[in-house]
Amino acid sequence: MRYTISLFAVAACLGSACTTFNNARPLAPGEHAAMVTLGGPVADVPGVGTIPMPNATVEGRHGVVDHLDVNYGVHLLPLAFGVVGGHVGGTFQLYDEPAPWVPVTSIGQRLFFFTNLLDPRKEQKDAYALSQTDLTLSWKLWDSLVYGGVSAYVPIDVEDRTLHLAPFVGVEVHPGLDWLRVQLEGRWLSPTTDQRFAVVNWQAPGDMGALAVNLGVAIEFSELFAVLVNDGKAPPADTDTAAIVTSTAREQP
Amino acid sequence: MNRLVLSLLVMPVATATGCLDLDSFVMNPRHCSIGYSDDDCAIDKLCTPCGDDYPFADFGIDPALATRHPITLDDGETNDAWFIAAAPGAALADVTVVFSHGNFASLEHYLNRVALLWRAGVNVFALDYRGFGQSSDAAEASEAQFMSDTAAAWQQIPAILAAEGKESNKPVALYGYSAGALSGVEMAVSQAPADGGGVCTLILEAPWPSVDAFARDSTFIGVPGSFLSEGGWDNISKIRNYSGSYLHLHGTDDLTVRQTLGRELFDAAGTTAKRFVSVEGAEHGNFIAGVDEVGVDPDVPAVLGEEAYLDLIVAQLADCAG
Repeated sequence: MRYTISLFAVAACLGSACTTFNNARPLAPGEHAAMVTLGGPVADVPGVGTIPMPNATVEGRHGVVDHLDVNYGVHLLPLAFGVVGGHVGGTFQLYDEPAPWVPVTSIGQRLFFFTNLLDPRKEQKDAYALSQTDLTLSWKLWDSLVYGGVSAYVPIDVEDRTLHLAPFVGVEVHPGLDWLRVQLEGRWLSPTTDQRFAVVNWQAPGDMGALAVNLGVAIEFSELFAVLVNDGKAPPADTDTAAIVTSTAREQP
Repeated sequence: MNRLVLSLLVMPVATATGCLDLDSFVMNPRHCSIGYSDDDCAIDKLCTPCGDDYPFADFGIDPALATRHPITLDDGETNDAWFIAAAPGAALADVTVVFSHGNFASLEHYLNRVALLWRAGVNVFALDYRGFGQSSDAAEASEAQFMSDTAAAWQQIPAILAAEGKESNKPVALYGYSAGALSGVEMAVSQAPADGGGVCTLILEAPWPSVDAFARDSTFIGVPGSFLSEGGWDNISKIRNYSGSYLHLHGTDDLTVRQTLGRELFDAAGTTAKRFVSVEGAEHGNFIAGVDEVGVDPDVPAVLGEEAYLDLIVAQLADCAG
């Protein structure tokens, strides 16, 4: 049985719904970014070791108005199982950074939707939806962002609306390129759920819930555009591109 | 391990094609043609080259009582199978238990369990599967093939009993351990008595419920089982049609097939002549005494102790004697 269960561990990542880029601070109005995130809940996979599940998500993000952006994404691992899955959401920043070391608070909301409706192999057709609400505190440390908070997951299901909480911490850095951000996040999924007898051997303190690890990469298009068009330098003020490049550079302060 | 690593590597390809589900990964066979390492032999008791007889004497069985009876399959391949006759003078020498082992390795890995059943004083007819051990086809069976192969085994049991000098139309007992319950329940439910006498009782130990049940159990936020499974290997649906006597053995500490899933299967069984024995502290894996295999803790027989375990089995076989 042991190797079969390993596959269940991988497959169960479908339900983790946690492999998304954390939007601690919304993008400025007009700004665009694309993100790829890899990872998921950590499980002991017999014959392989203790590893985060290989879920992958491709996302987009767009600054709408001051302090508000929207995000959307597709989830790649479910496609392997004939399940189409995606999410839409938004992040609202409550206030500007009042002073150094005082955290900025933001509230995020995502709706996940998955269905196997298009899979011809499956007689049983199902749809699944999940709500994720994030409360995030973030601090700017030099050029990096440190954040922490809690997510609340609730299946949108008439029979099961169990609330699952997930505290998280993360760090977002610029690895030497203004247009590139790398995010590493740890998350404790549903720490009140006893997993001692779960089929999958999730890893968590006291067998409660599951720890998750995500690694995300974001490309901010305005910064990349600045590098490509202006070689990274501020363009002349009287050019048309200057308005684009200088007005949409960064996340909210 | 290679199999799992391969599974992980094919994931990106499968992602592009949408071809993956868990139904394809139920079995985990080892075929003799790939050879066995020293560790395979020491830890998993997989030692015997293709064509050689299994070391029954190592497990206290007189090799003269063990006879190979390959099952001829629909496509001309053969599945390995052994009939171990009851010891001369054994109390239940007219009772035959058909033993279906778990999803890992091959029959050789479970010779300790075959010997344990045999010590109940019965004949044991132990089946191997396509792709496992010394079966002729090294390729793993699909679900359809597995069920077809199971039907072939069932149909040939009367002739094998006759060849062994037993009453060919006498009902047999079925014992399915873990994924072996797929074979056991299939025989119990789907196979007509044919020339044989049918099934006198069904014993399932830590049995496989369904892919769907495993899928549901793998996440804790209610992801539909249909996302991960085509609904195959479904013992829960199948056992609804079983009306004979049924003993279910399941450890409370089974981390592979958790006891609640076993309960789901037990509750679904369409018989009232059923008994669920919960074994406090028992795990799932085939516990081979003296072998230090990481992650394998005492199973149902090991926790109960041989005497108590055999008492349960013999009592259940009362319907089969006489």
